[in-house]
Amino acid sequence: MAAAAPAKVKLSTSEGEEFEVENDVAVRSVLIKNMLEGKSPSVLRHVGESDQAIPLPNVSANVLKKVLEWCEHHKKDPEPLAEDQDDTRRKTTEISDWDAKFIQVDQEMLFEIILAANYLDIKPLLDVGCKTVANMIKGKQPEEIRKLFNIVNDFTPEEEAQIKKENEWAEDR
Amino acid sequence: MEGCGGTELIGRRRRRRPETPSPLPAACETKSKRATAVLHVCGALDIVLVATRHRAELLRLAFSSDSIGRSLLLERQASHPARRPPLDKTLLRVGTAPSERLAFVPVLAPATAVDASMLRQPTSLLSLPNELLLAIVAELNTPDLLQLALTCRRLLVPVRVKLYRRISLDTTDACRKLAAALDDNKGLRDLVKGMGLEPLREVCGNVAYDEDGDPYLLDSDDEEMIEDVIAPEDGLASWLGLQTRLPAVERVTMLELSPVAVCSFLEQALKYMPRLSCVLLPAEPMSGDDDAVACDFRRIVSSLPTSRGLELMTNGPWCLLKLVDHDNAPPLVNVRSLSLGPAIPDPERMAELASVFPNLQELTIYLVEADADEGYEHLLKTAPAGISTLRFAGEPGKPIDHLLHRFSDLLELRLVTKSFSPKSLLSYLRDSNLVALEFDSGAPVNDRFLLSLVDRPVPDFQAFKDEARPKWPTGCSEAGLSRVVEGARSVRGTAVDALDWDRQFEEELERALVNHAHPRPAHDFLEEVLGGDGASEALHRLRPGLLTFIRSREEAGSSG
Repeated sequence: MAAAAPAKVKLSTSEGEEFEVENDVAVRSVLIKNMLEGKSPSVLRHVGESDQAIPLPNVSANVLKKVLEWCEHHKKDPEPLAEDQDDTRRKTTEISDWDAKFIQVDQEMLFEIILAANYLDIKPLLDVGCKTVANMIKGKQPEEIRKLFNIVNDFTPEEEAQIKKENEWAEDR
Repeated sequence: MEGCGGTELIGRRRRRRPETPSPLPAACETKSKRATAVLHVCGALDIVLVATRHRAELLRLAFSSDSIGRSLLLERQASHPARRPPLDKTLLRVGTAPSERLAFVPVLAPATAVDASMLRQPTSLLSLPNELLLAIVAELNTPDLLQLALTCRRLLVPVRVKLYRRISLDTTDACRKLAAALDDNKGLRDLVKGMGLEPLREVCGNVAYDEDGDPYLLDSDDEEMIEDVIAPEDGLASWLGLQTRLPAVERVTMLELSPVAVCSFLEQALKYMPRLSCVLLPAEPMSGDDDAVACDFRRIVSSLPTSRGLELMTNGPWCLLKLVDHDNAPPLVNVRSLSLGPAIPDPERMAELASVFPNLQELTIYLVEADADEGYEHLLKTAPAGISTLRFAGEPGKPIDHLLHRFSDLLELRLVTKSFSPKSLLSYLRDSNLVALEFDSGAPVNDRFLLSLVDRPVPDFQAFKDEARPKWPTGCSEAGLSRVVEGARSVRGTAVDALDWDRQFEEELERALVNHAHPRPAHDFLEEVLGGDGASEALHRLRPGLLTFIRSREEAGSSG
């Protein structure tokens, strides 16, 4: 139970920088939550029980700061339901105004947030990130998408024609 | 990543992908035999941990990045066997599902710690692992997917997975094109897991759909032409042509097809699609009243080998009647799961469910129409008594308590609303082996009911949440709920312990009220949950129970 757990938890970034955050902010991350509740592998368990910081070697300080900002704002959200995994349901949920503003960052930060949300297992934040990228793709031609994401076209013209043909069946849908 | 993560995710390696050569072929191959390996994607790096169980002294950490194609191998020889971490169980969690994550913390290799950021290039769309690219394309619709497919090889992979996962077609022309694509690139065949069938139309002009979903021709006022738009026999020939090319299909949905098309397709599908296990039958046939086909329909299902389990979903009384009509046809031993609704046929026209589906394990009844009480009762009266799962989504007006006790082997009972009184549910729970019980927020549960669950461990117990918002069930007093929650906390693993709605609600209240012993934070919280007007009233209503709760906590605290 939350009441028995320490009120704050220390997190350590890839650079070794430590962040002290409130428990109910940190547990937005299912990874951290499981560590604190002792559900993670036993090698990790001790980290939640002592003063030692939880190492997050894949998250840099500037990304963690941003992610924690999101967690702080959403700390009172109800936990997502299992059914939310459902494809159609996820599609219908729009990005909230606050989240939309939050995610207005440069591309590198956007993808770093997505990676961090995935690693830390923060499903709602991952959704916001993925939806944002999807929105950037929507309505664009291949060349526009390439330009936006700095993608090099590695198809030969023949391959391109082949893929077009391959997917022709889906064009009317 | 390309070599292992990609194949992990989509289940197979496709031939034409001269992408970044996998830096880790060897690591991936050691997954076979007894070696335990897990692929996990962290940051811009893919981290593959390979721990060979039979040589547990070696822990190999392989870092690679598909964006830069560089790899770094760290090998660490554990100098003290006693300190050797038990690799297979603690550090590694094996899972192939994308959702399975491995927590990797490099506490085990401090001596060889390498700053991963030194190897990194700026994170970009293409450096995301397939798992996340799939999550992104899941948000896109077909027109955007078609554009994205043409950008580069890396993005084509997840686009294909999404585009082909479930196909639904509406013209014979699209059917032909898909068949051609599946012939040109046979690797696509295994991607198709689901099919949605509907009457196909021949393309002959610009077809649009009206509000009812009926096709009509743009540029033409001639309503008669609409009939000609639909291909003969709903395009059955085209569907049959596709079948042999789709061996991986698991799920078929049939909407508004003629009985002939349904039967012909199903017969062939069960032959050519060895993994087909779930079939949604159409509500009503679009055309034709072919009773001769009805027998066929039953024969098709009954001709399967007994071992092949089948999940049938019917979408109306028509196909249900075809299945359970009185006759001496052989029982459908394959059907393990049956979903039916929303309308249920007249009970006099239905055979006993148990005689038609002797091996039924799951029965789902949904959205029953108002006048279907008798049919509903018939289903519950005649369903095999040994079923393990009973689900409802919509129930008749009158309670049918007495029927629940027929099912002594139930493990799951889902979405109970009004059919069963708390009293009969309780008496049932006392003797049952139920592991999952779920009820609607409209269910007439009361304190006594909830309290009795405190001592009754039910591993997976949930109340249906309308908007993921905690709600007090009507009929429960605050004092009663507080006792329930308190009781549940003292006995871990009980049903109420798993009750999400009040855990969340209570946790917040508890934090506010118990930690601060002041109503203000509670009020704020309630305001957020209930809106401004409801908060004061709710707090007023809640306080007697919660104060008792706080006092008991304080007493417990001072005595401990």
